[in-house]
Amino acid sequence: MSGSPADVKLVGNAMANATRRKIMAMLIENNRNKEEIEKAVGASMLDYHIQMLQQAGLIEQKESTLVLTDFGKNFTETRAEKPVEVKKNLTGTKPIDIVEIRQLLPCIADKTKFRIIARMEPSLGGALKLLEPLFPRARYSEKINALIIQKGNVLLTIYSTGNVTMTMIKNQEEATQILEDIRRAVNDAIVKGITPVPREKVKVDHNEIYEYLPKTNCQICGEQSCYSFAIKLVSRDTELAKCTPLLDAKYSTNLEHLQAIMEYL
Amino acid sequence: MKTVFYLQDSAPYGSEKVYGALNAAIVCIKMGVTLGLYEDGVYLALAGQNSKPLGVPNLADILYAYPDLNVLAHEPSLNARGLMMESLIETVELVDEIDFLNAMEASDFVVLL
Repeated sequence: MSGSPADVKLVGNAMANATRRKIMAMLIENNRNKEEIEKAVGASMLDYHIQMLQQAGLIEQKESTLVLTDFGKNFTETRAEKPVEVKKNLTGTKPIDIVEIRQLLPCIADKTKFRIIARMEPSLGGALKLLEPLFPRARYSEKINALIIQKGNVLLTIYSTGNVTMTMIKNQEEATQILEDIRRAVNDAIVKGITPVPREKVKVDHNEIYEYLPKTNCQICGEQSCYSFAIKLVSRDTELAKCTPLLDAKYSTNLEHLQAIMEYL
Repeated sequence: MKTVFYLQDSAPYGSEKVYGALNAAIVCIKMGVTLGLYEDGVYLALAGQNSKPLGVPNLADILYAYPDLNVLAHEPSLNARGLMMESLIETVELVDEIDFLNAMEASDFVVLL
């Protein structure tokens, strides 16, 4: 693999499939023959998946055994699911600019608020993960290669490709202001290095969860009250999905927030 | 909870079909929805779409705006169109023939516009 853009795409698309990710995970543990893999992932289209991984240069066949190539090993060591080059520091990362605020879509939950899509250039790529400590409430999602930042009611998702989406925005000015804050924080970090900010309430307490629950004490979840449900959520004795009233459209923003909060438990 | 599978086999900008299906899928997000891209529908998975010259909404923006929408692209359709070497939208999951079919069968409803 030369690492050319075409190769990078080939690897990315090869890893955008659950069966192939499973095969890769098996090969990280040990070299396997086809029968072992077939037992785990099923026989259907197995040849095709193996061929895709071989084309991407991630695995190779040695007699009857499938092994990771050096490139494959290197790729899996970064633990990246997509071919974003993972960086160790911000050296070489260029300052970003907000080049476009493309579209305003009304939020489903609250028609007076908007969803914003913007674009930052140049895209941050593998440096994005390093920026997680810059924000009091942020987490990096390996699955979609995106940094998800919570600012009050606003949920902001920065993709490694440079696209940015925001929910619950009042107006374009607010969007511009938030994007400008992010831009400044990122560009400062590029110049001065990353100074982690104190994590905001890393330990989530039940009161915070309770704030976003319907507070109807309907007992559908099997608990006496929403408050006791919140307590059990914190102790992981129950799960958010049991609160079915949250699926109601009027609670959709609450649900989005609860899902974000639960990530910190 | 009932689940819905929106089967989309039309190219994104040839008609309003995909725009309609996308919006219909988005309002169902809370009830477990999958958007399945099949045949010419897989063109929606391509990154870097620019709909400005057409004067219509950018459908890729809608996918980015709702990262929690489960989008499956039928890989053999991508392959047949020579799209496996193209950059795809990050939130799209590629699935083979069998998994695509399984996802459809596992849904309570399949909607084909």
